[in-house]
Amino acid sequence: MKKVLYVLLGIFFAACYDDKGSYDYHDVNETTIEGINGSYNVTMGVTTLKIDPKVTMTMADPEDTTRFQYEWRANVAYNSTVLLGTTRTLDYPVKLDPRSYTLYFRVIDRQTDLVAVATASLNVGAPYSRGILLIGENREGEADVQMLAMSTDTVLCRDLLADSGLPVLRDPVDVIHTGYNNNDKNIKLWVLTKSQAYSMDRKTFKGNETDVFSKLLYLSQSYDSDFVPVDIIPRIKDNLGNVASTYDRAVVCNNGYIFVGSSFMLGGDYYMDPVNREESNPNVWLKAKPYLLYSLNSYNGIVWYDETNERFMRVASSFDSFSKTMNDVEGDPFDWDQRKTGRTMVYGENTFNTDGGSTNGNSFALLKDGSGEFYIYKFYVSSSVAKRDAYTISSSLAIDFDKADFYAFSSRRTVVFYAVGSRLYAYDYNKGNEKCYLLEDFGEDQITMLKCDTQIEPSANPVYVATYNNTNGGTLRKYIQDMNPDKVEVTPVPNSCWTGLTKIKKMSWRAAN
Amino acid sequence: MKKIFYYILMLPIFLSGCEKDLMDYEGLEGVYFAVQWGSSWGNERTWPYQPFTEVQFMQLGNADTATVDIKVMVTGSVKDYDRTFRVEVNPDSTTAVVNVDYLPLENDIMIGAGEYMAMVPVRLIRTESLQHGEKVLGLKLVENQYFKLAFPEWDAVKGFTSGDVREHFDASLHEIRFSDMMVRPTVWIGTDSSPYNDGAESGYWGAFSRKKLEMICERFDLTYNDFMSTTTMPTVLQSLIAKTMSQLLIDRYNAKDPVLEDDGRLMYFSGCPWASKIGVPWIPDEGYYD
Repeated sequence: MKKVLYVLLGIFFAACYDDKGSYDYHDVNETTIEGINGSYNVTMGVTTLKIDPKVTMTMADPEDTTRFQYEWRANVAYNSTVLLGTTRTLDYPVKLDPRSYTLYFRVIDRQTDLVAVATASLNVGAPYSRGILLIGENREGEADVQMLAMSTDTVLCRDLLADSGLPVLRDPVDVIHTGYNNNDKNIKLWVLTKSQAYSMDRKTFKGNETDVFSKLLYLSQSYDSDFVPVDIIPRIKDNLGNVASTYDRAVVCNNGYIFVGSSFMLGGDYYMDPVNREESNPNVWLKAKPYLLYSLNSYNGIVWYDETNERFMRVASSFDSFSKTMNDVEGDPFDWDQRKTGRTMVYGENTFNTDGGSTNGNSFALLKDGSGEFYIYKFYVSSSVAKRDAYTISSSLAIDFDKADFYAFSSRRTVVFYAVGSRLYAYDYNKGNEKCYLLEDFGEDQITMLKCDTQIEPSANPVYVATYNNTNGGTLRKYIQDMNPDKVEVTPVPNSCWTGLTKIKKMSWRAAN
Repeated sequence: MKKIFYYILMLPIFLSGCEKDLMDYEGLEGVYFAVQWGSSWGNERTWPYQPFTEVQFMQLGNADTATVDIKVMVTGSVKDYDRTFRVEVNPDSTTAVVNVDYLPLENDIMIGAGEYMAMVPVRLIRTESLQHGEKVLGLKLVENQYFKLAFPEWDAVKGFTSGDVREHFDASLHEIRFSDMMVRPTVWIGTDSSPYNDGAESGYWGAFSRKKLEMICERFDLTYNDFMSTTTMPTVLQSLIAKTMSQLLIDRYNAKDPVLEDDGRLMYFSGCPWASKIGVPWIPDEGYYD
């Protein structure tokens, strides 16, 4: 009876039976991969990822490329895959965007379709997060950005603009990282040229032709010209990337227009109508010199120079829509209104100079009159603007001061450095002790940039000098300001001379991404 | 032997777990209004079902008419042939006038073979009277040979809570409430009356008024819809409007051509040196017009 039942059950459950069958078995080639680490940490644009794995096979020659196909890939799960190489050994100059990947090495046996795989973590870091940004011209006269990236070692990153995706740019003006901000969207990396200013991707240094300054503008009327910044402040004030204010920004454009904005008030890095006008005459635009003067250490608005009317003007707050004149009082070291003096501003600079109790840093303006005499005005742009002093440059002492290509004011002493061709001078404007020093003559090398650093080592305020010659390209040198009160001297800093650079126009610091 | 047959008979029971239990729907074949709307962050999987639809011509630009599609769904099994349901104007709730405020309704709407829903197209007309008040067009589903009324007593569906939930209503009825009144838009940065300013208008833009919004739109080439989200009305534009409009009002005031609201008070934006209270007409200073 039971047998009948078992037969029936067998029929009912027959479909559940898996037919194993009987087959012939053959050995196949087995592949073993060794010599690949668990993880690799590389830097985009800097590192060349080289891996030489050991591939062992039981029945074949790993070098038989007609049979075996090799594949290196960097994958982001469910997102992307990038082919890095198709040979057994990997030799890949890293161009991946900074992020984490899974590195795959696959050995594909075309004969059996068997695939052997080894994986590793691949962490691609951004090279551009910390270091000195340099903007200048390459040998073809094209705008070029390089970076002395400083992490564990100093590495020169070249051709950042060439690889940026932007068209070939010319006439470089500046490269500016806007520094720390509690809102990531407000951190910008600007490349300024005479014709346009581009906001670059901070990680990859990729650019887009539509990411220009005018995109940040909300204007109540149309204007005849484009707005292309020549300076954006506040600038980074220390090597951590801090700035005088994380809310306030001011921008001066090459057409003399000035914008101020508070990200707190405007909900981001935006700007409304320009402020280079007076409330009493709001439709008359005053042309500004390309300098924004403010306290490096604490933002209290700006002072700018009205080229139209030869006077200094004030914008005290980022909430302001207009500029105001400032009062002159009898006995002041100089007047804000320069129409009576016949002088005009030729240069301006913000420093950490604290003369007169200017704890957050004095600003300097260099003016020139019709007879070729030069004057230094020192003032403090605090909650109220205080005139600190005025100095007359002795034309008999200051050699070729009027021929200078560049000026740079020391934060530490009464010295203005200046460059004429290949020669670096220092002029001590200390009243009664004025002196001029030829500090260095670079011979065939022309000085292309001069800067007293207020970003990397603001206390030491070292002097950076960039030179260029057609044979060796650009060189950047760093000098320490010696503090001998009887003499102005600078000392080259060992291991702080970088060669083979672009023809440097400007340098600036970036401390973080 | 009996036992064998017993086991054979029981086998289907043992094996019955292998069969999926797919019951055919055997309920009422009916229709109901299935209109959902709610908060901007929701969607049809979370919006509650609603007994009315609001139409603001103001948000439709310069359109003279608006077609509103009202969703109707069926209960019961899907058929492999076309069916129609009937919808009529509900005189009990309708204040709109046919051919004045709306075009005649298409009464018999087809549910195609294999379909389980259809839209009732309602064409509304923008009239001047809508600027002063709301009109209502009530719709009602009517039983026919294909469909009965599915949910004359609708209870809110659990989980559909992204918006104002109406717990009970008759899903055979639906109202379309339409107007061309300019109501205060989503983004309006100002208050009608500030307790800190003796009851005067305050904030960037002060009190809302149609006249004020139309002035802004004209000055900045904006539409009413631009005021419906901070994407189209970001903070920087709000600020620019306040600055520009206050300067415009000041200029007009100085030119002896002040801009007044309908109640006679001076129009106000932040930056204007005067205070304006709703309902309190402006009295020019002596000699202002001299």
